[in-house]
Amino acid sequence: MTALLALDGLHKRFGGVTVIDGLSTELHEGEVLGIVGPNGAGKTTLFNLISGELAPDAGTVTFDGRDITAARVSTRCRAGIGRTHQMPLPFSGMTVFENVLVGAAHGAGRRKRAAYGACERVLALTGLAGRANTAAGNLGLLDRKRLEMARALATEPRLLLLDEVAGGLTDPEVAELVATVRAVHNEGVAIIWIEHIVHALTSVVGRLLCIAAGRVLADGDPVAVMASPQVRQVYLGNIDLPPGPGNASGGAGEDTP
Amino acid sequence: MILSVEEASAHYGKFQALFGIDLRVPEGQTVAVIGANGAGKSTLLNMIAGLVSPSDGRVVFEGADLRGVPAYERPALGIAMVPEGRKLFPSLTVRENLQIGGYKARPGPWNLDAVYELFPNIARHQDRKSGSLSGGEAQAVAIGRALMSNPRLLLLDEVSLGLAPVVVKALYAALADIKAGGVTVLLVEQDVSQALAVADHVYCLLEGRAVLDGAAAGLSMDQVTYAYFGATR
Amino acid sequence: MTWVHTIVQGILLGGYFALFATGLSLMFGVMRLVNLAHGSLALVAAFCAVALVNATGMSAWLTLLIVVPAAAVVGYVLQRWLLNATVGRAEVTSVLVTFGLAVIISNVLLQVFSANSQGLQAGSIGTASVHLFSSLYVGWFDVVTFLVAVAVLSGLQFMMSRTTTGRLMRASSDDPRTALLMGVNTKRVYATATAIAVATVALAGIFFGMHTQFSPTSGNDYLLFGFETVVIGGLGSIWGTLAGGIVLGLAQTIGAQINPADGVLAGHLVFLVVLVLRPEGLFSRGGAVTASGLLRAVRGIPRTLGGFSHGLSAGARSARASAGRASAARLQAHPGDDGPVVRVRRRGRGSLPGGVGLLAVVAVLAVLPYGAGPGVIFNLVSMFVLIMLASMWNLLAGYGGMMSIGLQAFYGLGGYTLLFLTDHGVNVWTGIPLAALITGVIAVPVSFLAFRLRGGYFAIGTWVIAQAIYLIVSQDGGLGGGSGASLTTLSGYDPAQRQADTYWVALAIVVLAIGGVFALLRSRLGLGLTAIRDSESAAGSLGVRVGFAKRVAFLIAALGCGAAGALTLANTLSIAPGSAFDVTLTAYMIFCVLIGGLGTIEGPIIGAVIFFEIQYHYSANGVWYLVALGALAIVMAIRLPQGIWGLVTARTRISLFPVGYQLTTPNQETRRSEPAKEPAASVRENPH
Repeated sequence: MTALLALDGLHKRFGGVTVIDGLSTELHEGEVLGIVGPNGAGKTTLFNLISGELAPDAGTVTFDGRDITAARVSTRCRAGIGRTHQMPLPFSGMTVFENVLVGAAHGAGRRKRAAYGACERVLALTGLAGRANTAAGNLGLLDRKRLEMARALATEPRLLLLDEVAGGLTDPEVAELVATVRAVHNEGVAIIWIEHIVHALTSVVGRLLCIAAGRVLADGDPVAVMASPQVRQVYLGNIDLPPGPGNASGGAGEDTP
Repeated sequence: MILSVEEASAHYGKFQALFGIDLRVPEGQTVAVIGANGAGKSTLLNMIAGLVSPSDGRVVFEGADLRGVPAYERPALGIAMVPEGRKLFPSLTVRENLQIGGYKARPGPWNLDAVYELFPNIARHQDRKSGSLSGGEAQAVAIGRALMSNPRLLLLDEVSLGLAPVVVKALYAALADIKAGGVTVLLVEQDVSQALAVADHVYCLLEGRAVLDGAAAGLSMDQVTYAYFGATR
Repeated sequence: MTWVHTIVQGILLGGYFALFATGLSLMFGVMRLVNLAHGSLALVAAFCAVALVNATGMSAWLTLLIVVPAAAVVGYVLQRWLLNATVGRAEVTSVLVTFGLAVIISNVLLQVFSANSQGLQAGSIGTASVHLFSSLYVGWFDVVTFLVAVAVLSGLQFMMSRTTTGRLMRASSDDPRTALLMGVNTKRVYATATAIAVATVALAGIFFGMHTQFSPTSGNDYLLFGFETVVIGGLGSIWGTLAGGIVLGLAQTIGAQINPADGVLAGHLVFLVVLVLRPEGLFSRGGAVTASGLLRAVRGIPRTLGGFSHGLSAGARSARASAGRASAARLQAHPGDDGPVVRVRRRGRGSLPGGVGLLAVVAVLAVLPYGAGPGVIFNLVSMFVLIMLASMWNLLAGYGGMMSIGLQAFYGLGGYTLLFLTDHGVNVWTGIPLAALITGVIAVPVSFLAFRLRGGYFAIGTWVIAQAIYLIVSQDGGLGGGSGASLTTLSGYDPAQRQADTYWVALAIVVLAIGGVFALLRSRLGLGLTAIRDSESAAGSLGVRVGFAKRVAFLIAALGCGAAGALTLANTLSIAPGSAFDVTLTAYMIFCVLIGGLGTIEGPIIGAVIFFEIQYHYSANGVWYLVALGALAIVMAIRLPQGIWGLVTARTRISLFPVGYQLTTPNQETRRSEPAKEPAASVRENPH
């Protein structure tokens, strides 16, 4: 089965710093891939290369069999790649509903009734139904993040890129988010999810990628990847602390990995 | 106590980034602030450096409340920061970057020669535009730049960002020389073990709140992991 | 031999331009500030020198010692007290504020010194010439100016690269936040940069004043020359400024050699050629100061044309895309879903009574000619024209995010096209819409040219294009040349009937225009434009064809301005290049939109009505009312960018031209909640 998304040998430099260093990977239709890695590892840059906001210095991006390395952002969106941004950029002079409508009308090419229906459904899915007529500029950060996701979903993507959408959420909210992502996945949408809140990822993704220094460090089963010594090292450094007094009790229901 | 942050909160518009943080930095010691991304660590440093004003509480440096003191007056008081991501000035050479660090220099041992001695590998890049340096070299220049003002308190924001472990080790080794000169260090770090290795005291932030506060020597891996990743795992 | 002389003259002329452009380049390099008052400031210096000479009889050279330092102080204060408020905000703000400043300055000068030309005497040096070789003589003064330019540029280069101040400026330009961390008071650094910029432009103004005669209206030319120099030479390159000046100087002198009236035009054409082939400038460094976010990368004409045809075939492609994706799973309403019925209300609050009210107004206007006198009718047509112009400028700037100072080009083209058509037998009333259409067509190639620039440079670039068109038209004898022409085909008409007919056509057109804008903004393309207004990058990432949408906005604006120009000709019966292509028209458009509010349909209409009233009652007071308007524009741009209508909607949430979508399913708040507390994004967020 041909991959939905294929990244081959991507390189990206900013000045003297190589941010993406020969990264290659594949994603299949309907797959859910999580991406973890320390700050500065190149994760958001990777998303920018996939969505078209940045052009690579070398390498190709292939989507659905077509080479889209030179395609514009809006073209890629209409082809089926949707994404959320770490820093939400709402259309602040428009309402929440209108924000989402832009995605449905332009990204998905829907008209009138179909567009309205699609928007309403997406709003319900992301928990924004009660705020549909609020001006986006008046939303708090949490709702802005929801709006980011709703807008991306409205473009009816075949591949959805989620960039750290769980940050700042309480536990119940994270659970809600995970349910939303599961629902989206059930529609057959392939998802790539960058996240720091690892436990949110591990409950949804079938495969986990750890990126460090612009390269793939580990790729495979989420639990195995998180347990691998190399991955632990990039996050927590060399683990050579003595077990301390708090260890014996096992913590408040914590597992010692 | 050279620095004390007293029940400080910070907002970005409607979003609250810090909730009543209490932090003390004793003179001559090294304090580390760890935490996952989005925990508010950089906001805390930015607040101390003056780029963000506390919406509540206060920041006290050497006994004086820093409220109303703009960021550009703080180096003269003795606060210098190495910002996250290095933030060297791309159209300036390495030497010029260092010179700007010394723009409001206080009297002290740090000057161009001293910095080159500390980081010999950047001396040969003196006249290169700083945009062309590697990550490790750029970080060294950024630290040197902050030292040029001869600070009493050095703020380090995520020195290990995007750098290979061996480079990070070398940079932190230089930290010992810096501390020997009498500089107090407050550092923010993602690499937990590195932070624990150099710090006397550790704070862990989680989503804007301090959830751990203790001497580095007494902490266990479990406690740290628990605080770092949050309630459920 | 004459050619050698021409070339040498051109090079020397480049010295003047380089001297002018230095300050412009500096301010943009350090603060990303496009200073539209740059030319006017040069003029102020020249006029101050004149005043000093007249008052004390001192030599013009001596005035340099007084005026230049004074200019530095003025620049410092200007930046510290006014312009610092615009740094870091949307580029639109600094363009509007400096534009308002330019208007204030030129009108104050006009009032104080009258419109007469002035000159400064350079003394014996002014007429002395130096013998270069064989029969080639050049003016001493020109050589001196060139040397001064080189000296100033060298000094600037030295300062930037060797001194602490220069270092501070470069650092503040790279990263103001981190500069603060280093102890740099960026506000003061910016003020110093402007002080230097204004001092150099004062120097340039006085030198130029010793070279040529000048008047209060010369400021515009100075600005354009300075701007062309910077763009040709390349942003961020100090020596590129000299090179750019030389290229422009050569273009002008060689052009003048070919045809004495064509010097300036040749300069404009060379500028446009550079824009097409190498928009980043001939000698740009590509360094951090070159503002990669400002100039679009060279894409080549074939690619740009491809982009346009891509937009045209958008319909076909999206149909294919949708069909292609039908097979893949999608997030959509399933048939047989029992969810709540989705109702979307397109009506806004108060729009039904508002709409009825508007229709009533139109009805009253339609029957007005039967009762009102000819003067009223005439003025109303002018007001309709103003409403159209303001709406078009708003469409371009408020929705497309493109601030232009060149829409007068299409206004003039509309008028002249009508003249041309009627001269060739076309009926006037048919001619008006036809002229508008033709203007729209001409706007297509213009858009390809103009879109190579962004932000403040787009604003001035469209002005250059307008000037080029103006110069070309004013040379065409068939169209009346520089003195203009009259619309003769209407001379047989009964005046009252003609007036009334013109009025009704104008009314119909303005209703059509507003209606058209309304329909556009209610459509899917309009939704995309509104999204672009708030955040161009986010719009692109949601699939909006940004380039296409902006081009459509540009073409419609051109069409509307063309119609306005044609209507004015039918109303006033005469047209002249100077007034048809006058940049003051854009000033009026900007005033209207600032007063009424940017980014809404109602705003420009209200602004136009208010402005028209102001003009009607106060224009007898000379130019002071323009000064007051300029000041008002500055205040509004900084403090109240959403304008009067913005205030109204903030309080009452009324919308006369509802373009929004309101969800009205059960459990929904059916009231549209309070509009965003942040002002319309085009003045808040960085365009491009």
